[in-house]
Amino acid sequence: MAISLLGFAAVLILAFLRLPIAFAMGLVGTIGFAALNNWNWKSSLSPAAGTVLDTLQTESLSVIPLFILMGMLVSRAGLASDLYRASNAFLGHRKGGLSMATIVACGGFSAICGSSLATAATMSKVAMPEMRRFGYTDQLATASIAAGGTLGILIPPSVILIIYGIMTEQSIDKLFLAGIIPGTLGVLLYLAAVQWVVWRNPEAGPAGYRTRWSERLTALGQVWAIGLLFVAILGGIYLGIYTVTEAAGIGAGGALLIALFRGQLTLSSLAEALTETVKTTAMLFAVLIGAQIFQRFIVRAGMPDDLLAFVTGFDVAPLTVIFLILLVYIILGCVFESLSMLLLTVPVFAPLVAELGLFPGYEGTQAAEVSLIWFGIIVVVVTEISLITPPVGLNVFVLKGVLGDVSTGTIFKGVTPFWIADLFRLLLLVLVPTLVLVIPLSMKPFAG
Amino acid sequence: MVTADDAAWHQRLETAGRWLARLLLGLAAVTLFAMLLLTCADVIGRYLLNAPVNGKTELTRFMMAGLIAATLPVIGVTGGHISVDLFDSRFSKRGAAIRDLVTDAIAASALAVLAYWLVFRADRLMNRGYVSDFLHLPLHPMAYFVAAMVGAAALALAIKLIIDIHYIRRPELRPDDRSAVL
Repeated sequence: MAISLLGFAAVLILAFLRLPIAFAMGLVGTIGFAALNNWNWKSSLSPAAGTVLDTLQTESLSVIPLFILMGMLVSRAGLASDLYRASNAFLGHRKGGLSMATIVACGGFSAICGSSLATAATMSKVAMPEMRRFGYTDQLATASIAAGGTLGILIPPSVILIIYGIMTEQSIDKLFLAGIIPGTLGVLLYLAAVQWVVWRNPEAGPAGYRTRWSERLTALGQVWAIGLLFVAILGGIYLGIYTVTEAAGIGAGGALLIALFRGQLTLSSLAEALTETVKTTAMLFAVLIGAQIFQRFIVRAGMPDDLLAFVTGFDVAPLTVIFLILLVYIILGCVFESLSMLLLTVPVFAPLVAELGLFPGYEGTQAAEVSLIWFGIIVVVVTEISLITPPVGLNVFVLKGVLGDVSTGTIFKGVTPFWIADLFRLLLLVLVPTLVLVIPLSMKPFAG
Repeated sequence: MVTADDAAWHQRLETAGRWLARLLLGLAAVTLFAMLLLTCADVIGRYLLNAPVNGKTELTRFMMAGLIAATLPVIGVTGGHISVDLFDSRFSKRGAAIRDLVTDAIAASALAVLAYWLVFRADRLMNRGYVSDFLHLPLHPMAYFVAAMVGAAALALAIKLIIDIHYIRRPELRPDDRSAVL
């Protein structure tokens, strides 16, 4: 245990010196592994190089660039403003309605985009001017964008869920399906949070115009394609018609067609979408490879086993262990970027969670699979919370970066009701795991 | 002291770097687009025409490795990697420049060592004559390409060390840190 803790400390120090997290994990992982093998460097370096070659040449990982490309194409096709207009047509006339429309549009956008920060950045350009025009307080307006943006990492297709699936060797399609209800629940609870804010202070979000039904239908007509794409992706996965890789291909191909038909795709914007995608992909693979090398080291050092023995030695209820893990995440989330946090912690906690016996109805590998699918969603929800938690809540800083004239303090203050809604959702998902598991369990036999 | 001559080589280095980066990114972008078309063709072929693309899995594997490897040298020097910027404000301009020199030197040496061992693996693939299961394509050329690109990433970072040293001497010229955004 001591050497793995030393390894974690080394990664943190290097990371705080701003060495990219991929290098920090890879370097410490390689040196640590060699140290455990009597400083036999070849035993550590040759497999590390092998990990690089294997990971780069994994066919199933092509879902990552394809889903990212889908998001890049959709955000360049001007769909964000159409989504906002459509949800505004239905919700805008209510008190706080523009904020609610922002939340719904964020949910819809993230259903295609999969990145929280991109969702927040895109939506702030679309929704903020409207909310200002109707006299919304900066607090409520910015908070609904920052919070709505966090929906991006849970509602499938989510890049973080894909990476969790790879690290824990769980099926990505089941993880995606497990994210549907918690993601929808997130939207509903955020709407309730807006309701609560305008109930407390009606001045915070005055009602906008009422839209006639004919106009509502026109607005809806602008966004049907995005809904169809979403249904085609998840429906196909649910029915087992095609694999996630194929779904990603259909998604990216569909997004390309949508962008073409809307006439908003120039050669240069396509080139930009492609190069942005390859850059994001390379960056994700770098951290993924670093994390795998680090994971090999801590498994060799026996940390997951030691932790399991340590925890079972106390004879506490499994749920208590889960709450302790969540506490660790919420604290780490205050200072750490979400993906790095996930990659550093999942190799330690996942084996523990798999063996805890959280679901007494299942046994053996099936129990492990059910636990890990459920835990994946829980981890992502905690990560979402960390995106709006002071002092580093990244979504808040992205928003500040885009808007410029609002202080982070204002945004953090406005975000509080949404933060509480998130904690409530987390509690609900921990205590009622059926919410997570009902869809994937109905799809196909587990561990079969 | 920065002379006019100094500025000239500096600029030439940057221009050359930018062209190389554009070339590599263009290569990766075209590969990605080809991979998209291949995946779609395979899906349409499989479900509508009952004729999937033969060897699609293997081609996808090579394309993935190619596009990611080609991008690595670019994101290494442009600060595209995810890093923790929590303590950025604690560093003075000169401190940040020194920190860059240290982290870039660590990253460059790590990549150089990795490139060496990638060549080792590629040699082994070649000597044992490994080929892919279905299309019987040799596996070593892609391994050598990955090794070359990791080596190029190391080299690019090593060249960036010169610029880091330049900023330690002239901290006021150093641009502000940007945080990597996912």
